Amino acid sequence: MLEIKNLRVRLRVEGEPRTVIHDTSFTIGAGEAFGLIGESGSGKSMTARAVARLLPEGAECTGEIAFAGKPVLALKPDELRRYRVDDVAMIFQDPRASINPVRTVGDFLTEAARTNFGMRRREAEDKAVALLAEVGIADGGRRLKQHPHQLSGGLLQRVMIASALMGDPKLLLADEPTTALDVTTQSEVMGILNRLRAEHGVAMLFITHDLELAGAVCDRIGVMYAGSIVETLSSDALHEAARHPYTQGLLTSRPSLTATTRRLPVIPGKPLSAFEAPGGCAFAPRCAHVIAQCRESGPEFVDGVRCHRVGELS
Amino acid sequence: MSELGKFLIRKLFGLVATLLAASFVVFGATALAPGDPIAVLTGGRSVDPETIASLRAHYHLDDPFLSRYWQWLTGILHGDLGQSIIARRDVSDLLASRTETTVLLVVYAAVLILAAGITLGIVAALRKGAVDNVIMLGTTAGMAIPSFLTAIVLIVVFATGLGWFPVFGPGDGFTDRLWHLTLPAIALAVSSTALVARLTRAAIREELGKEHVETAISRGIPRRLVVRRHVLRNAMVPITTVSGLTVAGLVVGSLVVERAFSLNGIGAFLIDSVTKSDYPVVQAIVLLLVATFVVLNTLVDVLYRLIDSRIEPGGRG
Amino acid sequence: MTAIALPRTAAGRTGIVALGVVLLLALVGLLAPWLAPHDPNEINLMDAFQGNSATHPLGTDASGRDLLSRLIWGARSSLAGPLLVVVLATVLGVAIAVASAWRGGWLDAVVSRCVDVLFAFPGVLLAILVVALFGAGLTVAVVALAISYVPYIARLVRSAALREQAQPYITALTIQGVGGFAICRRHLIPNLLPLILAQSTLTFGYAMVDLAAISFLGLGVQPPTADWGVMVSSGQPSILQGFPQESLYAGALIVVVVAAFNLLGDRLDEWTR
Repeated sequence: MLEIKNLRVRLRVEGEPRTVIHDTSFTIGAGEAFGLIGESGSGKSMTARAVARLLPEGAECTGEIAFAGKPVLALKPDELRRYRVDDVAMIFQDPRASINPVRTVGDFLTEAARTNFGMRRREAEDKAVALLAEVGIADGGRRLKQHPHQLSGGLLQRVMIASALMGDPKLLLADEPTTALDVTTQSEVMGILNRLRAEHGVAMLFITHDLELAGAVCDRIGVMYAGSIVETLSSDALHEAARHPYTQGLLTSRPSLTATTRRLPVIPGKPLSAFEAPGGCAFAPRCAHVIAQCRESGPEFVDGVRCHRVGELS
Repeated sequence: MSELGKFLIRKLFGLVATLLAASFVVFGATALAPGDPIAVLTGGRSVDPETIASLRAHYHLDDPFLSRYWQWLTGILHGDLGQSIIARRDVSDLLASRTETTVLLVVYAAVLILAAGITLGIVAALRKGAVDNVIMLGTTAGMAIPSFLTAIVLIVVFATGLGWFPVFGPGDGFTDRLWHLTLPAIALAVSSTALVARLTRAAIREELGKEHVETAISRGIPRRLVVRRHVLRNAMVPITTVSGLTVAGLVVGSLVVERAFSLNGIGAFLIDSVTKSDYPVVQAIVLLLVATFVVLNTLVDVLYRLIDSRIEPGGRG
Repeated sequence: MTAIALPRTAAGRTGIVALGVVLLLALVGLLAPWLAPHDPNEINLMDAFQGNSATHPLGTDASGRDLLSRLIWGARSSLAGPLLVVVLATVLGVAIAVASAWRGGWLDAVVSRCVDVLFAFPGVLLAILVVALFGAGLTVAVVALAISYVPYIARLVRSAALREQAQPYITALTIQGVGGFAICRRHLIPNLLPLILAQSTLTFGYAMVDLAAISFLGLGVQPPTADWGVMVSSGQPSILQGFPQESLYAGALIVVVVAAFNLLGDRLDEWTR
């Protein structure tokens, strides 16, 4: 349903063009959950924004993003609006900043339905209350009259999830939806998002830096490094089938519940953004298996992985 | 009692306290002034001691300071603003007709400031590029032009030059008055309009960059509605405050403009009384202007509280 | 603080131009006796309302005085007046603000209440009240205006001083036994200087407009002294006789200086943030 091919994004930072997404390709099928993981600066959030065409002013996009055959990057203003109304919905990281503070929760939930579908207030409010019940907010009628500052972050993010589902979208773009929440409410909100997505049959692009979480929630996973996807794989095969040295590094650098190690292995060096990456393979400076060829030429993305030595290592 | 009620009572109490303190400053400052009021009363002529004594008694000049202050204050609360030393008439009578001119001028200018300032600010904020640059350049100049100079340029161009507007005087009848007050109101409005335009632009630009605006865009709300419901509505809070305070400040700006256009308003009367050392009139007018300013400021505060639903009544922001 | 480097941005360059304009006009005022072609107060009624000529490059006023000379001499009081206002208001405001922020308690409470009451007097009203009592003139106007600016500066500096005081290094100095006065003088105030400088620059613009307005009202600099505010006012009757030059030239200079100070203040404000 969503097909991204050789996406490349450049932003203008203080007048200088800066590559944030180097070369990214992946697909998401109808109803499928795809997790995009990576460290900060890897370009994962920009990828989600590119899909919703919410990139900052002055951004240049090349490559293809197709949604059900529609070329997203070429949509005219009115088509783009319809695409956002009918096809995609976005859940942002920080619900408190992402909901207008001077309007009521009810206004926030029903605005899109009333504006875009001409739904009447009562009708929209009934739908909102029903969705609030689904996200675990029982007293929806009362909540509609409240202002955002009267709700906790966890509740607000549930409101955000409910509002994303108000328009019956086909694809949810969830950009680190639990990062800004308390640790205790994170798993709760994640559980609700996961369950509702499955029940409503909505596909999801899930952005996170948490590989295990992505493995638990998504069907397939894409690992991003310095603006490129270095590996895509099925969640079931996450631990066994990881072939790229970076994915393997991420997997071993997490504390395990079963094994006791005296010291966690870490990936040496710091993560790079696309514009800082050297020629050749972007991961080469930090890779334990680096050879001369890695520094000379960037590997192509072949058969789900981007690594010169994939044949020898996996 | 509701939180809002408590807030209003607290505001009212603060208003009264400020006015009392200000009245004390106004009266006390006059008492500090060098020079003998009798000299002003007699105009420098030599007068026999009996007359002086009766004058001192008439104006309570020998009473203790606090007692004189108390008499003055209670008089004002009963609508007695005192007597002009020069005109020998009640100050309230002298002010009556002049107040009308000043109020009309200030209201006229306020309307111009709000209409033009907010419109220019919105346009500049939403239209980046040439339109924005031109408006910003214009407001930079506008803010640097003192009202008396605007007045003179307007007189040179539109009154003596093109002859479209009368040069001086307040006019008769309502329309004719508006006609006469148009140039003065513009002169009074220009620099405030520039200020309001700049602050409006800044408030809108800030709101445009907020994440919740992006949320609205991501849901496919048409841009014009995003701007109206989320950007303008939210920016209205700081814009109202600034505009309100600016309009309150016009109370004093009108002094200069009245003088430049020879309008017979309160401000011109104040300046006239200052140069003639007519203290009772100066006291009364200064207190009147301070009271108007403080009341308007309090109203802006209350209005701010009412339109900003983020602030829980009586609570934190 | 960072080293002073020439700004490369367009905004930075306008700041430099603004500074240049201000310095140039200040220099003109200083060198008035050598630059002015005529005595600014020399009345010659036969020469009234002259147009531009070789002897009178900008013409003459209603009394036949040379306008260029009056503008050059006028730079003195027109620039020195606001400068004195700014210096006086800043010294008083900073002293009051730092003392009340540092001491806190009743002193802070009293100062805050007084500042609140002074805020009830809008714009130049307080200055006009003072002039009404002590008589018109540049000195009285300058002092009066400075007093009316003190609350604005005090409020701003007080909150900045409170923020600075909360910094750990101040606590560290206190623990080391350094006296309060020494901390304020050697550490607190120097750290507030960039803010104070930016504020003073913006205040200069306001002071110039307000002082000119007071002179325009006849309560400040007294004629026949050459002063831009006075010239705007004294040139007004000539407008009706078709001779607006005196008011407009003097007014234009006021606008240029005020705009330059506003730009300069904005730049300083950005730099210090």
